[in-house]
Amino acid sequence: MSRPTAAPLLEVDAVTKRFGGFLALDRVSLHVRAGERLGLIGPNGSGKTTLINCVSGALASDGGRILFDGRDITGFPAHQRTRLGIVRSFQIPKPFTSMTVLENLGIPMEYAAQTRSAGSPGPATALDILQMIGLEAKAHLRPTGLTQIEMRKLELARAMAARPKLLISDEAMAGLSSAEVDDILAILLRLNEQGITIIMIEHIMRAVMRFSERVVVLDAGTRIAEGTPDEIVRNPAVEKAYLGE
Amino acid sequence: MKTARALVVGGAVIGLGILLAELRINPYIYFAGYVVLQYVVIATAWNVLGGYAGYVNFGTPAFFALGAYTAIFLIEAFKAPLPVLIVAGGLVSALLGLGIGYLTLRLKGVFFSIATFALSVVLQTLIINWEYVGGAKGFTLIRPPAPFFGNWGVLLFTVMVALAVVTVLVARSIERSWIGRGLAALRDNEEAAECMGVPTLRLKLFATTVSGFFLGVAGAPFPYYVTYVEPSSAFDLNYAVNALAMPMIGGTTTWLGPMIGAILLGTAQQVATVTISSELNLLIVGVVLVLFVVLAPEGLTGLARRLRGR
Repeated sequence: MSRPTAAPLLEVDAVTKRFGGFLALDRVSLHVRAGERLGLIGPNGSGKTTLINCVSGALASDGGRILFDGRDITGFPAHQRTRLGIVRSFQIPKPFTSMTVLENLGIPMEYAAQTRSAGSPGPATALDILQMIGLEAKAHLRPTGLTQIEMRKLELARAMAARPKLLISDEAMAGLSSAEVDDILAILLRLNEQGITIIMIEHIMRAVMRFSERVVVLDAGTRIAEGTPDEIVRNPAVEKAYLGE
Repeated sequence: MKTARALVVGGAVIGLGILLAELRINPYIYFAGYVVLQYVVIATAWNVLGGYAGYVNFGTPAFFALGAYTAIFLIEAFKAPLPVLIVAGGLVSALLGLGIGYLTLRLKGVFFSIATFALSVVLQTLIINWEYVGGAKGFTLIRPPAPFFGNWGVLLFTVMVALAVVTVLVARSIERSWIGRGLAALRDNEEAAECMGVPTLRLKLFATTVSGFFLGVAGAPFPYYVTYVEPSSAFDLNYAVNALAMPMIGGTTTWLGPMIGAILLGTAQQVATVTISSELNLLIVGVVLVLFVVLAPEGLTGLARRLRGR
């Protein structure tokens, strides 16, 4: 049943991305083991979101390979990657505004979760997911009536409804209060306990360091460090990237 | 179960149409009724792409005229009968629809609309220079005796009733299927839809093809209806304006909206043409559209939903 630990769930192999003359990602490699909690950090403009876009399929990479579950998915369109189990949430929430909160969850359930055979971790129905995330009272509202944190929770809930094997959370906590950050953090930890592998992109250091088992640091499109949170905070290269000389 | 009921209602409407045809009331009623029903087909077809998927097609005349000119070509070449013309007109327009579907890869929003409008202009120029189908002079059709009802006006009215019913039923079943839900998702946010597993390109191609098909179907009987077709009447800008205005007035997110909008606006235009002036009907469209955009942006069906407090 359990996968040998040697084979990572996600393997990013020397991925390169250019925007015109600007090299946004320069042969970035990283891997994520099944069940792991990986933090991805770096200063603004370091390429975190670009990397995530390449992994989720929103952008086509210009070089390198991406393997998921041992399968080369480099040329796959985004919706197929979602069906395989790579699901992302957006930094700026992008809800389906003409639908209720519950109907928002219906889309990934119908299009992603049901196309895969059972066996993916996580709660079964949309209402279960809303309950777990604490949005069940808003199930029949349109997303336009939600608060900022509820919108973030909807992003996570909708991602959950796709039954991810790998959840990529792109700055789910930016702009939230300290208590709200704890709230989201607790949700993500609970998902991880259910067996979902999580990559967290975050600027709030307190959250990333508490959450992650391992942290990868990007700066100017290259990977400059990798290690446990403790190792990362003591790493001089990371300090330099964030604070300068 | 609900589908069965819809089929029964659809069948009943066609039955009513035949009954009305047998009654032989004032011939003008059939003549005007044809136009209104043609707009039910056009508005409903347009809405599959414009309302469900959110891609505003301003090239309706291209699809309508392509249906009409496919019919003309088949009449000239093979003396093909009306049912063949309708199917063929639909299929050729569907191909054009598939073509503009690939445009959605690169063009969104207003740029897509401009491209579809340009398509209409280009196609009109091609037709003007194609002598075989009449070119700029136009094409005159000498109708054989009508096979049913003994009268083309009544026959074409009945055919349009059936086409309108089929189009509305198809649009309704698309809206309520997984395809309709996927289209709604990509209309709301294409990037998020794709990331939630919705194959956005495939659904968009489906929508443009189906929309194109029924716009062509609406145009195919046109040569029989007017008996004289020239490029400027087949590519009339009114089709582009009405195809957009009618769903906007009725409401774009449901199958009911375009139908209601087409019946209301189409009838108002016909009445105005007879009672006031034929030029006035465009003014009506303009005024009504502005009123709706300001006062009821979700159309009549949206307004009804809001009044019911939902």
